[in-house]
Amino acid sequence: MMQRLRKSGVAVHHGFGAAAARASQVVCIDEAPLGPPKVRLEGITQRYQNGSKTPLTAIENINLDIHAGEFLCIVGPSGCGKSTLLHMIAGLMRPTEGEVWIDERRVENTGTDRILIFQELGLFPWLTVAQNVEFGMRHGMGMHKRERRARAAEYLKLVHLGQFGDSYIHQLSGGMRQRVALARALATEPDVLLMDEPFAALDAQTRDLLHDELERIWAETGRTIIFVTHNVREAVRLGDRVVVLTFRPGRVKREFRVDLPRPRSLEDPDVALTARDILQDLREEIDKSLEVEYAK
Amino acid sequence: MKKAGKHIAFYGTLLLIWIIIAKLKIWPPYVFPDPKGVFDSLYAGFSDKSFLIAIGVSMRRMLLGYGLSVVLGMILGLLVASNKFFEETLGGLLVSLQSLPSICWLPLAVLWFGLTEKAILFVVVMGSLLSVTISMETGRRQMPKIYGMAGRNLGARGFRLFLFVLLPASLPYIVNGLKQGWAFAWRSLISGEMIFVSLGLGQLLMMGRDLNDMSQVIAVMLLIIAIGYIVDGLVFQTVERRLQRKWGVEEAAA
Repeated sequence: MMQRLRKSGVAVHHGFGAAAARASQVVCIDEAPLGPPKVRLEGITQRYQNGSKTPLTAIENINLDIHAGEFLCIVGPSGCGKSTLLHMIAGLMRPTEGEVWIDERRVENTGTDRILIFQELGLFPWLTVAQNVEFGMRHGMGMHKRERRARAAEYLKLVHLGQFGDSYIHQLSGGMRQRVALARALATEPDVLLMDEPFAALDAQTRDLLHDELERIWAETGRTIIFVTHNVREAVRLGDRVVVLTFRPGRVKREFRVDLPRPRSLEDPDVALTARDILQDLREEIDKSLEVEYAK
Repeated sequence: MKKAGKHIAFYGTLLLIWIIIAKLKIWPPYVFPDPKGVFDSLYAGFSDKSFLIAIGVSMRRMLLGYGLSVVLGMILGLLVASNKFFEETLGGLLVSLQSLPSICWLPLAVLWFGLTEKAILFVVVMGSLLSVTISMETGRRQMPKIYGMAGRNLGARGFRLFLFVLLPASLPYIVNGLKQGWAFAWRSLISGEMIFVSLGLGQLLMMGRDLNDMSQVIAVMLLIIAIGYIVDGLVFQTVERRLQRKWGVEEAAA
């Protein structure tokens, strides 16, 4: 199961030298990592003509390289353009300026090589769970019935929903729906998985469980994951790297590499400690966003 | 069960009042029949099959006319919803046309098609086309954008996106309009049949008048109500409730 393990430098220093390790857990990255990126964001800028004469700049000159097999988390206050960024990578919208590159190919449209899991999931209520999972294989890839049936069953099993293929979405709990969305996204076997605050609406227990599952699936499948959240601890729990965005216009404020051993847990003291460092940076941006909100 | 009791009490009282008034003989029975007379008419109508034939003829016209207006209305509605130019021009025209009772089309229809089935179909289509079109247009707008995005995200484009995502996604928003369209079509049909004679329930109603047979008139009225209620109240509401539950759409008002 673990054949396609990531090659990235996730140090597995179990136990020993914890204090020394802690000192190096948070590293600010100044130089770009080596090797060709899986996803490259190049000078991404998004402006909205907001009725007024001066356009609103939502995102300004974001440059980011994401490597194959990397788990990247993006945090930022609401309104920093995190979701917009994911929509651009998915090909659902084009930036005002700049380009998105996948494997050095320019993103012009949507494609089953990168699937976005929306915050509101967007599962199709008129289809069964299995048909939802099959949707991308059927309408995006034109796969044959027998083949996609088998693959849907496989991925439903992977997210522990093997028994629920014939159910409808409204019959499932929130955590189960989340897993359907995950299976649907994984079923097209995309190289890049884009996740937009997927666990925000879940209770703590379900979220913990899904964190574990996501980490396991990531390890098993070797996908590149770009995960957007406003929860810093979640970002540290999951990510190899955490990028903090500024508030309006969204820019990269800082990047952190998280070298904590896996599997992690939200309750790990090291996770909490690392999160605190990042939160200091984020707090400034949240304050800015609140100022704007209350000024209205 | 409490609700059923209320209904029985209410309709029982209504029936009782009817019987009493009829018994008082203020008006002659051919002007104000008693329930038994109406029941006899119903019985006679069903036993000599004249009611069944009329229902059959009317329903056939309904299915044809309504089916036609659903297909046309969906196409028109999508056109209006997806194109700024059509929205501003055709959209306005459709809304203003809605204030025209569909029976007003009858003179034109008779002129164009003669006293034929086509004329009555035309009136039925004009009766329901607008509400289907307008509901399709608003349904397309009300539909959460997430479905279209999710469909595109999974690689569906063009006609596939429309057929497998946009159309089913808009169903709970248009079913109300489809219901309304059915009700309008039903009214148009009956009025059309009343004015221009050739079988059907409306004609049966007018025949009752011509023969001074108020029992038959009331019997046919009851039939028209019953059919309208069965389709509207039972078929459409069940479908609507099911769709809304399944789609996770909250009903705006019960």
